[in-house]
Amino acid sequence: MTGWITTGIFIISYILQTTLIYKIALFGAVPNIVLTVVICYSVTAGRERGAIAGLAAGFAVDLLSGGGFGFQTLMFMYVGAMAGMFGSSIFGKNALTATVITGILSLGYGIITAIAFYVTKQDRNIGYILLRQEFPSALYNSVAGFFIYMLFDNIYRGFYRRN
Amino acid sequence: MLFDFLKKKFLAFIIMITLIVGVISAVNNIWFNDKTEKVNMISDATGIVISPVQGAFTWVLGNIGDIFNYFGTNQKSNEENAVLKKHVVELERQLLEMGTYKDENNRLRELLDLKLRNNNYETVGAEIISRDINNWSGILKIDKGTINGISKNDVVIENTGLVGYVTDVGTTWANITTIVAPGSNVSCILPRTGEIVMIEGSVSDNRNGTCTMSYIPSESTIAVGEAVETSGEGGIFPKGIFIGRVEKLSTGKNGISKEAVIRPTVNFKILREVLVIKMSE
Repeated sequence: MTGWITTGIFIISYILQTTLIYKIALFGAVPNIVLTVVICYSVTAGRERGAIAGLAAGFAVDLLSGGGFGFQTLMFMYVGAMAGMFGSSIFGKNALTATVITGILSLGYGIITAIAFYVTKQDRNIGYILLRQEFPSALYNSVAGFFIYMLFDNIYRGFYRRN
Repeated sequence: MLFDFLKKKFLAFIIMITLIVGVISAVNNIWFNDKTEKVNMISDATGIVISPVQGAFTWVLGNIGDIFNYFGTNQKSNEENAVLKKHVVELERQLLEMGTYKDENNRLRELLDLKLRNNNYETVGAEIISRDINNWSGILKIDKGTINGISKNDVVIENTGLVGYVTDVGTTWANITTIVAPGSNVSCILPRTGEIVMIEGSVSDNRNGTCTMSYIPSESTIAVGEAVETSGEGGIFPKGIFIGRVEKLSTGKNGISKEAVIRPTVNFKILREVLVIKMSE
């Protein structure tokens, strides 16, 4: 049951990310809700489930975005694995952990994306991408991560309480 | 049981998936991407399912936005402003067209894309239903695909100017790479001087809705306000599609050539409807 709910949350987050999120940009930065959902789910669910969820989410993003395949698949899987590892194994499952881990992993994702853009010669201005795009986006993700983690926490606590 | 296995062999699992995805990615990007007109079946099927939902969300959000705009601003002034803006754009287009006709000779007329100027190309209207997940990759998705006659590399325009071109196409959807997207390159011409230049997109350009024109010869007489249109070179964009105007001029990074910021006439932040030119026809 929680699997279906989680899948539904991922799908809704993708649809919102591609249709609504750009309208709530702050100083040009937008949150990456799909990434945030992967991270927060991984913090609650653990390393293995987080990696699988990241793999599935990244695969779906690659399929729907068109163009080059593989980058988002791998990045989301690594992010999910690391979020699960740090969240459930090291720092514990709580909203503060989710918020901080979301910010750090979002920034890491952004740095690697900026490097990928540089290497593929799509944009050589790494400084601009990091300072004006990725850093604000990571902060935005952190804030969103707090609320999304609370959502997952309530869903899973409610489910396990009833069962 | 699967997760018990993963707990024991987690690192091996990660390495195995990395290798598999790496191989698939290499095969897809090197062998299939440029050789196929349509996306793979799984992408297509996923897009067919998701696109109508994205379209519905965009339609609802767009109309809600319109309602707030209606109550939040002076409606009559807005309507007059919109009419006047369209009139100005049309006048500018006519002025540009007259200027180009004046400079043409008979040999160039045969080479020009007269079909486009005389609107003989078949076009398909489409709506923007979603943007890319990163929001700064400059990729838009439309609600038309191969079923509507759209194919890869079809040029996409709006009534004011060039939008981009189709990079991926499914049965009922297609992805457009805009001219402000990182990695985008468009060969252009300055109609007044006849200079051929290149404009590029980048992350900052996509964010600001501009394009960058680099490596302009220092002896060029390019000026602020100068019109820019497609040159017809490069194989994708036919000649004569209006792009925008020079907004700012500066010295290039090498200290010798000039660099210009181009402001396209298309506002990519609020773009909702486009026309796809069926280049294959």
